[in-house]
Amino acid sequence: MSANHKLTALIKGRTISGTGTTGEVMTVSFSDGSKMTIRTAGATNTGPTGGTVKSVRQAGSELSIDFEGQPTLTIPTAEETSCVMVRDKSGVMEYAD
Amino acid sequence: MILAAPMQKLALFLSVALLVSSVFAGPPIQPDSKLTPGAVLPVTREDIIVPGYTKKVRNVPQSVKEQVYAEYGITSRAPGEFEVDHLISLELGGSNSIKNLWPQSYLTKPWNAHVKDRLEDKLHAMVRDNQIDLATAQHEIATDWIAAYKKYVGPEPGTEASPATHGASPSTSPSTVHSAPATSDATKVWVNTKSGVYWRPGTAYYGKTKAGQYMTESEATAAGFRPAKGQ
Repeated sequence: MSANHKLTALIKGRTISGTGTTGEVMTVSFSDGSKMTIRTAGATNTGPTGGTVKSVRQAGSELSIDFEGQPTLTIPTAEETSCVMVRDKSGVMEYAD
Repeated sequence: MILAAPMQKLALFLSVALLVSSVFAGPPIQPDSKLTPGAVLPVTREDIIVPGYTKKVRNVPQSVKEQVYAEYGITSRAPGEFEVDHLISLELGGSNSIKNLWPQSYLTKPWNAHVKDRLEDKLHAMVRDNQIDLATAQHEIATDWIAAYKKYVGPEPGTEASPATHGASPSTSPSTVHSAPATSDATKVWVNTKSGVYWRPGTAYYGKTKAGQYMTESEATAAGFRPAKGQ
């Protein structure tokens, strides 16, 4: 599984303040007010609240978020692309895949 | 069994005919609507008009590009022959979903990837200037990009009599297909003013890069431009 450099550079160091799921969309909220939405392929585990992102890896329809000192969160995405989006606290788009 | 031989020959003939027709059908100038209906990101006009918007979108992974070529039956291709095009362009909120990707030729005439780029730039400018709403632009380019080109940009390339009169004033966005110089200037080269290299008439990128201009070769070299490799 290879690194997603673009997403890693964006969210590395951000800390998860909460997660939620609506249907097949998982929302990860960060303590800086930004939010990441992920279209998932079915049920997923929630991310560790308080976990700080170390890196993001992606291969095929699988997204893995590595945290500082906490287990990796692996999320099956609905497609290989077009499933992840990050917006800052003002709602400005920061990333889409 | 006596009748089987002619039937086998007929079947063989039909198979060969089908194979030949598929080989010589040429690259598609329109996407297959079943494979590529178009797909968009959940973005708004305000998102896409921010300068640098498209740079925030991840590049299409090579593995997905290979899937696109495979589903269109393109098993071999020359460098520079195709691009994996976003049917609804990124600048119009199109997504990287495989449902929005198709192999588009740079070489077919008159309709090719360079020409479609002009339409994409035009529609983006119209959305930015509130001359068309984003959903309409997305729908028009996804439904029939050639018809949309004729509607919003102008007539079929190479047959232009006058600028398009539809929608906004003529586009000021960069063009990727440039009219050839007049006959008396036919010896002029095409300078890619961005990369600093120039192309002679008859070469692949003559008059086709986004940024550039025609000038004599002596003018180009005097200005510090250099010939592209392989010429």
